Amino acid sequence: MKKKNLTVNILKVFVIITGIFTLAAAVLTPAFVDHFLSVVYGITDGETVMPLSIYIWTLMLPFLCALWCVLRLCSIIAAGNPFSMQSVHELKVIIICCIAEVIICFAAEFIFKFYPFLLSTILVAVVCIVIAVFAAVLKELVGSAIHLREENELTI
Amino acid sequence: MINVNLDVLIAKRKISSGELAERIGITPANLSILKTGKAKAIRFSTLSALCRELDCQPGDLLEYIRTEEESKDD
Repeated sequence: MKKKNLTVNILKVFVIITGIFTLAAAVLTPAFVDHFLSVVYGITDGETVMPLSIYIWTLMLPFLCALWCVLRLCSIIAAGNPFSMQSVHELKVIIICCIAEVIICFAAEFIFKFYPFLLSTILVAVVCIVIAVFAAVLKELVGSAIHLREENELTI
Repeated sequence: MINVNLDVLIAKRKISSGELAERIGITPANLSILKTGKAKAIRFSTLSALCRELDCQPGDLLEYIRTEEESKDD
C-alpha cells in the first residue's frame, strides 16, 4: 500500500510539473512564436504572432483540463477507491478534452490557414485521438471492474 | 426475481437478526442486504448455514417471483 501511494504521489508530481511547464509556456508563447516566425519563416511584421498565440493558448485549455482530470484520478486512486463512478467521469472528461483538441486543431487550420504547420497539426490530432482511444478503453475497463466489484460485494 | 423469505423464518425461530448473522458467520449488514432483496448472489455455504440455523429447506427460504421485465423478455 505504501509503495502504491508512493507511485501515485510520483505521478501527481509529474502531472503538477507538466502543468507548471504548460502555464510557463503559455506566458512565453508570444515571445516564442515571434522568435520562431522571424527565424524560420523570416516573418517580422508581428501580425501573425497574436493569432498563432491565441491558437496555441486555445490548444492548452483542453490539455490543462485533461491534466487536472489526471490529478483527480491520482487522488481517487490514493484514497483507495479507484473503481468508482468518479473515475469513469474523469476518464470521460479526458476523452472530451482530446476530441476538443482535435476539433480546435482542424478548425484553426481551416480558419487561419496555418498551412506551414499542417504537419504538426496532424501530429497533434493523431496523438489526441490515440489518447482518447486509450482513455475510452480504460473507461470501459473501469466500468466493467465496478460492475464486477458490485456483484462481488452483493454476493453474501 | 428471487425473493428471500428471511423475516418470516426468523420470526418463526424466535431469533434476532444479529444473533443469526453471528451464527452463520456474516455481518448484520450483509444479512440486511439479503433480507431487503438487494443481494445479487448467495454462496452455497451461506445458504447451507441459513438452512442449518433456521431448520428449513432452501425452498422455504427462496421463492421465485415472475416480474414484468422477465415477462417482456419472453
